Amino acid sequence: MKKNKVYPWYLMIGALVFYFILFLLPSLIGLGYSLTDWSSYSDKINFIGLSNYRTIFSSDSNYLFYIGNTIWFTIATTIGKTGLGLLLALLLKNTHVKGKGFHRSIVYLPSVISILVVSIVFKSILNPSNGFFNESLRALGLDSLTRDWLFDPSLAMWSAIGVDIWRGTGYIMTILLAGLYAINPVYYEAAKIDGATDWQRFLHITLPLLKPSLMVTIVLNVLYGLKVFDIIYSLTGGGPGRRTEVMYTAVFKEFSLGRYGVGTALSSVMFVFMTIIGIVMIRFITKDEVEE
Amino acid sequence: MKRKIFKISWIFVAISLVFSLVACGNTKDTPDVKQDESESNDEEKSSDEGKTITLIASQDWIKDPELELAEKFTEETGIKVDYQIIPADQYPNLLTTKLNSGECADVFMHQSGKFDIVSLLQIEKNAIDLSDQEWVERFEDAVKDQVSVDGKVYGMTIWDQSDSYAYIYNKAIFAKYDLDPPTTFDEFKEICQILLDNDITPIYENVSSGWHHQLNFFDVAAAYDEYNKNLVDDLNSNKETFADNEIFTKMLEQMKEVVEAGYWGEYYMSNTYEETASSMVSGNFAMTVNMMGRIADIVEAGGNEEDYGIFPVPYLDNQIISETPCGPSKFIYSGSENIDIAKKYLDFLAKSENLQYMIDNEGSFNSLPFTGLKPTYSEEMKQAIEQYKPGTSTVYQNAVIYLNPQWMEIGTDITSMLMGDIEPQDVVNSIDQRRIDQATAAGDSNW
Repeated sequence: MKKNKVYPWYLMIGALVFYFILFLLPSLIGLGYSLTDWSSYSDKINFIGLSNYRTIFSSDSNYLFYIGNTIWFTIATTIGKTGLGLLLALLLKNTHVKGKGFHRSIVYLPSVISILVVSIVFKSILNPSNGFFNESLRALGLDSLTRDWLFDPSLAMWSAIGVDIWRGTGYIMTILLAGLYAINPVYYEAAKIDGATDWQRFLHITLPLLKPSLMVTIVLNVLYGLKVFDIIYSLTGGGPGRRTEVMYTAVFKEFSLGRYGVGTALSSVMFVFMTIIGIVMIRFITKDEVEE
Repeated sequence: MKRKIFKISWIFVAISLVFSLVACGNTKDTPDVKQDESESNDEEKSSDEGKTITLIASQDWIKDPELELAEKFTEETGIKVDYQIIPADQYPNLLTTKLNSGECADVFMHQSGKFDIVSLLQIEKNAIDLSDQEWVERFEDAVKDQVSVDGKVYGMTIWDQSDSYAYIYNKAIFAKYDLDPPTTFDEFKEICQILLDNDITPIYENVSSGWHHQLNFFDVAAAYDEYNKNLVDDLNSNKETFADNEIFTKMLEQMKEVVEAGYWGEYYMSNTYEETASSMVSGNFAMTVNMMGRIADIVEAGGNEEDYGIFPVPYLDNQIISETPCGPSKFIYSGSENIDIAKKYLDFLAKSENLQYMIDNEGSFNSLPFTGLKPTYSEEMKQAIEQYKPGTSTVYQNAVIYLNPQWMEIGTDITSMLMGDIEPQDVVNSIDQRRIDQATAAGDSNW
């Protein structure tokens, strides 16, 4: 059997047609609509050039703040989920930990629960008057630490980030755990014979060989963070005020206001932004993967 | 043995089939029996029987008595009514999408408003003219006006328009501290301070619901009218803006003052509308903004009706409860294939006995905007209507064009203002900007 067999190009046509109809065409149509004044207030759709984009990027626009919030959410959740996921993966691979399977299931469980359910549960837990969290603090005599976790302007985004990290860490842990099991134990044995400490083994064996898995989790987290909608919408609705508003909750609100032109322009901005980030990250991953 | 059981089973199946066929045959015969009772009614029923009208509405717009009437309508005519209820925050978007795609339900609901139904719904294109219907004669003029364009009536409003938002207060708490309903903003603040000093949160306000706290801003319309009696007309013809009239920033500053003094309590941001009644019953709160008729909810939650009173939203020394002629209304979709039976359904709902049934069986309906009905006002509501509701002002969201569609956005802006992110002037500037955007998109010649 030929290892590098080249198939004829026309076998791609079917896939390309589907890709064009289901992905490229809607994106191109969206891009077209973003150059119009399409709204629920009028039957007519007029070409207005880059006016919607000027609205988005004008200095007094709220959209720049939403872009900032989206990036902040993405960075914080990516660091949180990857860091915690790695820590838990290392802990639960350790042969000395009893009931590893059970612990892994518990940590993984939140990621299979619907985001809406997670939000409803956390809204109840974080309720400032009678929520479990504040009630626990009160029971411990820590009344001064009680807060309106979801609607205090300075805490709302942190709370949303915290809930998202809680929900997504188990999934990341599972990917990293698979990566850890793929590392040949021979390296560790050799390092141990050479007198390497645990930290040295982690730094010089685990991390470099786990890089492909780490990069996959980072790409997944970044793309998820940039297109976050459900957890924010169901937890805080973008509030209080606009403190937790992100790009896709803003897109949703633009459509609700009947400003379809601006809504599609915002979606197009995010599409371009995510495509660029995706390409850069994939290039970075494929560039210097460590081969065993 | 097994074969025997198998044979017996088949015999049972065969007998069941024969019986069911006979039963089907009998149902065909039923109209003949009924014909003796009412021939014409049955002819009508047989022609429409089995048809279904679809009706799309936002959450909380369809009350239980209406669903009961829909069942009665089905019994009488054989026409089914399929209610499709959509969560409130998704409804406007979904409805406009359905109308734009040409795939709307036979009957769709939307808030009335003579400006909004044109700019948001393009009602002349998307709904049919109902002016020739019998019930239009009995429909109250002020409410009819809000579903009409150029003298043509497009919708039917079955909602209590005699009710309006006002402050509901706990009389027992007020009596305990020897307080009377305020007549000025300063008195209002004094009352709030006395209550706060006695560990009672003066006002139950909910911001997280997104739609409620801005009522304060819109419902002092009488104070805006007193400031400039031509302001509504001038705002509608674009001769005036919100930013150019300091009364609006003054109103927002007063709201901010009340919140910063702690009169809305510690957790007003996360309070929800759904907990209003239970919070009032708890005795931890003394006042709340709600429809006057919603005292019924507090009673249902365990409060005593005689313990709750009503006064107007007191910002800007307002002493008038403004009229709210708009409410959720039904329109028949022009692209519907069931226009005739949809008309029959609206006609059925508008029968006096059915409207009275809704008043008598729905706590939040004390009256409906049709003549010849018997209202069920509580004593407190009667007194409030007599004392505070001269019918001279209309709430701003109904009176001023391009305001209601930005309701939620204004709420968000006010929240940002209360948090200190923006100033009152920024709120009114944003209102003006959104009005410009909407008017421009609608091709309004005044802008």
